[in-house]
Amino acid sequence: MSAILSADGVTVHLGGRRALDRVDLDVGPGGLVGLIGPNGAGKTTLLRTLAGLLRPEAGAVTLDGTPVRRLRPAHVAARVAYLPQGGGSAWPLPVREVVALGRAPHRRGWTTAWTAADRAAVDSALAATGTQHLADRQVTTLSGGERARVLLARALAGEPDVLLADEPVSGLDPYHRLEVMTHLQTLAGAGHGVAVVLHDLTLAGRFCDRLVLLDGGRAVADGPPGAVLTRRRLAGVYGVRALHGRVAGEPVVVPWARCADETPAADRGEGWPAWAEVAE
Amino acid sequence: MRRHLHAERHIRRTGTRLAAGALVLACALLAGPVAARPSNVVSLNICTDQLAIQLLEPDRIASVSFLAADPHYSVVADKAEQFHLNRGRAEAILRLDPDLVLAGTYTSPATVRLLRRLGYEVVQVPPPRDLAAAREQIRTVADALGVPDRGERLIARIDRRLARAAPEGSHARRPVAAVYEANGVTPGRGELAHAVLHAAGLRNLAARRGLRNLAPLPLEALVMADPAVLVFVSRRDAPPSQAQNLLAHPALAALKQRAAVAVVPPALWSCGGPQLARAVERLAQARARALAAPEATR
Amino acid sequence: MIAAAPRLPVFAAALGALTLLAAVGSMLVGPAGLAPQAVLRGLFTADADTVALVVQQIRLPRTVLAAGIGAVLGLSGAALQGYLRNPLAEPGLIGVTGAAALGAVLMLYTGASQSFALALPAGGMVGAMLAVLLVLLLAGRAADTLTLILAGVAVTSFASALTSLALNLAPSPFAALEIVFWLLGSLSGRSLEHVALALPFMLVGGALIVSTARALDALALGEDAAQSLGFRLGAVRWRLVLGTALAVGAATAVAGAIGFVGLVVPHVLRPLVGHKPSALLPVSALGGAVLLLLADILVRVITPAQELKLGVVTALIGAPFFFTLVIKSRRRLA
Repeated sequence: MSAILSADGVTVHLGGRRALDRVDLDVGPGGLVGLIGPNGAGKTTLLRTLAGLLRPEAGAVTLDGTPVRRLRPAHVAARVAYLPQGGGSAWPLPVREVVALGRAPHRRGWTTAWTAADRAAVDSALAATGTQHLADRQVTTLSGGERARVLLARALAGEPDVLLADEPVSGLDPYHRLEVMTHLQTLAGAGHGVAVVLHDLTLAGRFCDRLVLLDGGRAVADGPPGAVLTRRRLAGVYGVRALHGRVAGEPVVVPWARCADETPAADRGEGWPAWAEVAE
Repeated sequence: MRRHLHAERHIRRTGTRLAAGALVLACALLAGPVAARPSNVVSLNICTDQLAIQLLEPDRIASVSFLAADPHYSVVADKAEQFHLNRGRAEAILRLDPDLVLAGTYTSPATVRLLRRLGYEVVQVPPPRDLAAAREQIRTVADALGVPDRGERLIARIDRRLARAAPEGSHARRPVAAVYEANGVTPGRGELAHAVLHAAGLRNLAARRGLRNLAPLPLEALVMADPAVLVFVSRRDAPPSQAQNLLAHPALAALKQRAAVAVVPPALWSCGGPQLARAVERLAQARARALAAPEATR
Repeated sequence: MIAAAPRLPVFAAALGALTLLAAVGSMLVGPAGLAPQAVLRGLFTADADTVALVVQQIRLPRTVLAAGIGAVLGLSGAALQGYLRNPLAEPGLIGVTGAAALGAVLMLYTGASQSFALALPAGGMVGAMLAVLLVLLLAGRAADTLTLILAGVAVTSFASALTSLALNLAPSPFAALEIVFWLLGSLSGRSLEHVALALPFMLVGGALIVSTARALDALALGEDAAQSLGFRLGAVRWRLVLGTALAVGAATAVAGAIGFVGLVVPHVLRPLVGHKPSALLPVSALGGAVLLLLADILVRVITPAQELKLGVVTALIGAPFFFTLVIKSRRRLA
């Protein structure tokens, strides 16, 4: 799988300290990569560096092999979409206009007029996120879940090859968390490269094809969820113990207790519920 | 017999001497109020400054205002430089210990009140509103200075020069003149300038519009009136300001091309004095130029 | 199915027509009492008669400056609000016009602008530039309202104090009283020379500001999102700073500091363009032109002899407006 967007040994300093230390990450087509790690591990920093918002002191970010540094921002923006954490709109714009902002990299010059391609892209982004019925509503009047989907539609309207999403499901109810993760999985399946920062290990384990575990600015693990979310890793990096199981063939990891609060039985994996197939 | 005559003459001479002495004493006592003239005069007002310098010996003047030494405001600027120049502040005046203070009616009321309260004699004169008032101003100041005859001679000289300066046939044709000062103000009826314009055979645009004293005149109105004579008061090298720069407006520059222009500094016509005749002369010359111009119908 | 704000061209055209109407009104008002036909003839004639002088040399500069300065103030207000994502930003409130007035005062009363005419707008532009940079430094980007207003108050107070000091020290006896002109603004006595001094910079500055339109739209999503959409935010900031400095600086240098136009106009017009920052720019320019033209007509009608200052009229409209803004934001925060 050839990577579209690639970070090679990037080191980034922020606020006087080393936020990323020689991190490698490949985001290839058709894969959903999850970036996980404790608070302050550098997940957002890595995503922002991949998006071209931060310049690494060492190493480089390349798009199709060309260093991003040498490309025009609009060119990168046309292929890489970045969805920041906790986004919103400063002005009560109609949803349609917000989504249309994602077309900016494809618009030339000073004109803000719409082309047929713009209209088509916005329509399909609204359809993909199931937000057509909100098209004329003011974005500031939407609920959290609706807004998250509208902002995702904005990212999709640019018809990017790579989507970088920073905690797209934080603050959403269970229904909408699953909905957004399903969208992202579909995107990855459709051939886009998708990298997602997640705190929810259960979602990460279930939806991502690959997980990259960051700790203190370094990538300490990179592989399929089963290989990354091991007991030793969870204890060492997060300081937690989790329940591990399988449902319908898919891995389930549920963080259960902090390592400090332990009972001897749990340490040996005994006395934990056995998981059966969950009825539909 | 001779001894008797000597004695008689001796008694008569003594009596005469006694009578003469008594008469002199009586005169001296009666003439008390008509005392010595003021010998330490302080002037706080530009008009009284100039009159003091023109009427009084220099050693009797203690101080004049700083404007008196500015040739833009004073015709005796060169003579004024030898005196102490005051800015109307009470401290400086008190230090000079004057026996007479000359001031205008607009001189700081607080200062005037203070001086009077401390026992100084303060004579205030209003700014002259017309030629008659200018003569009155000279009389008042001359009386206060104790030289009324010199005052009358000055007035006579002024009248002679005014008569000489006034143009021929000035009652027949009176072109319209406008005086335009910084900030677009013009002197109307009640300003000495108005009387001088009249004496020079001109009609004052401000008076025609019913303006009194120093009044604002919109530039548009001035342009539409298109006066035959334009009179400016300011010096060319006046420091810049919005008020001053208005006089450089292109519309005004265009008017200057069409009219006869005269420049009359405040020194010539803000106070009574022989300089008024010079103001009349300048304006009369401008009037003559205006009448000689092709469209002399205004 | 998807509309591209079809109301905007119609709305802009309507405002444009209103601007023309106000400009015509401005040409017809004045103490000379000219009939409309006379004004029309006077405007286009090559003769140098008195009517032509009044129309071309006195009324035309006033009209052009009122429209231009109003447009620039409205435009920069809309742009600053879009950039700072704060509806209270405007060149008057954040101290740009106050600092520009200071720069112009230093050039005029020292005689510098007499030797070198362009020194006057240059002084205004340098003052304006320093103020914008200072406010951006103090308030940062996406600063909260309190910090922004405090920064503006600090800059304005300092600039006004220095202006007053400079005027008191100036050699001209008229200077000290002219503080009213500089702090409130006036178009009385303006000439085509003033137009020549200010208009080129206002046009260039305006164009620079307009060039940030698309970036302002993207900034609604936040700086990271905007940057990720391909906008170079550093360049956008420079264009906004330079454009505001040129346009507002030159405008203030010839007419004094006129406030509230950049606050009221974008605020009123924003809902009518769907809150889109890029659409707000041109309509705020037109709206600002209309507002200032009307204000200038008003000062000539109310007190023809000794004209009111323009800033009095804009403050009479703007300050109550500001009060309602404060009340509304209190209710929202409460």
